[in-house]
Amino acid sequence: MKAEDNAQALIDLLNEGPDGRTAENMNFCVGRPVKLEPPRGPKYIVTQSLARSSKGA
Amino acid sequence: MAFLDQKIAIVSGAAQGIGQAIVSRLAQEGATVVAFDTQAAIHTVFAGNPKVAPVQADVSKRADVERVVATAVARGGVHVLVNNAGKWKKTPVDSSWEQALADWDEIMDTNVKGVLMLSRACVPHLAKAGGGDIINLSTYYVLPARSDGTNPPDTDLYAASKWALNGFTDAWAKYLAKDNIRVNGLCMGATDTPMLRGLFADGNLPADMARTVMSSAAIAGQMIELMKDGRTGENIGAWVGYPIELPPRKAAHLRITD
Repeated sequence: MKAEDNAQALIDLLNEGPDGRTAENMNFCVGRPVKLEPPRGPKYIVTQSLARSSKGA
Repeated sequence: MAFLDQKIAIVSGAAQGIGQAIVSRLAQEGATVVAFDTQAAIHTVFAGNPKVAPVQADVSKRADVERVVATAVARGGVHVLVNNAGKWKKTPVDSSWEQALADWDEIMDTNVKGVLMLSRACVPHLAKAGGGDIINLSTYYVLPARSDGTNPPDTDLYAASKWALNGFTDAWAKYLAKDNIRVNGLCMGATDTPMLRGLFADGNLPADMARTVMSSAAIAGQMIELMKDGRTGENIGAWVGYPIELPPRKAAHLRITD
């Protein structure tokens, strides 16, 4: 992989902005395109927990 | 002849809860168990059980770890290591620097460095014995969530310490396969232990939790089944509301995280 491709993916992630994904690991592997895949939703935290946490509950 | 006759096991954090249950099951299966804990109660919990050698020791201190392993070696070696000792506390991400760093040392010294030291000390003896088992006690936080509320947001250091164990379990399973040493993780949800009860002011579980919580004995039973199975490099989950059993073996790339 090229470092600049990883850097671009990071910029793309930041550009998702305040409504962008969270609690997600991006998986960049040799032999596959280095780019953001569609959000999968959090895997290790259920969506309800994340929503409640964001409200400070 | 019992499954673990003539075998020597070491269990950390053995004075209560899941550790205590694991010691009892290993002894039932025929093992001699070096059971250690920071609590002096380790000397009374297993009183009268000739299969248990209690040691008061702190897994976060190298000299204590070496003393524990020497105790096992004096009884014939090391065949099973259960890294059970662990600390849990709330560590909100907006706590003070001083508090955060103190929490880091407290939790990581036991949950990660302790596992590192005890395992490092045991591996030569496990290899010399022709192989054996290392079991790392973890949490279902490191497996895909199955219900709401599985991952308290103010326990980042505890969660990080258990994710660190994923690295140990995965790397050691691969590296130590040549020595016939199997390495697995047990990742359980709410289990009725003094640690869990300590989260509540009166020491009692809320009624809805009390109805569904898992037992330490059931987790210990799952561990024995895992050891009999012979797999390696896998995290085994146990969730409230689901059967506590050994699942089918997973593909290599799914063994730790799914």
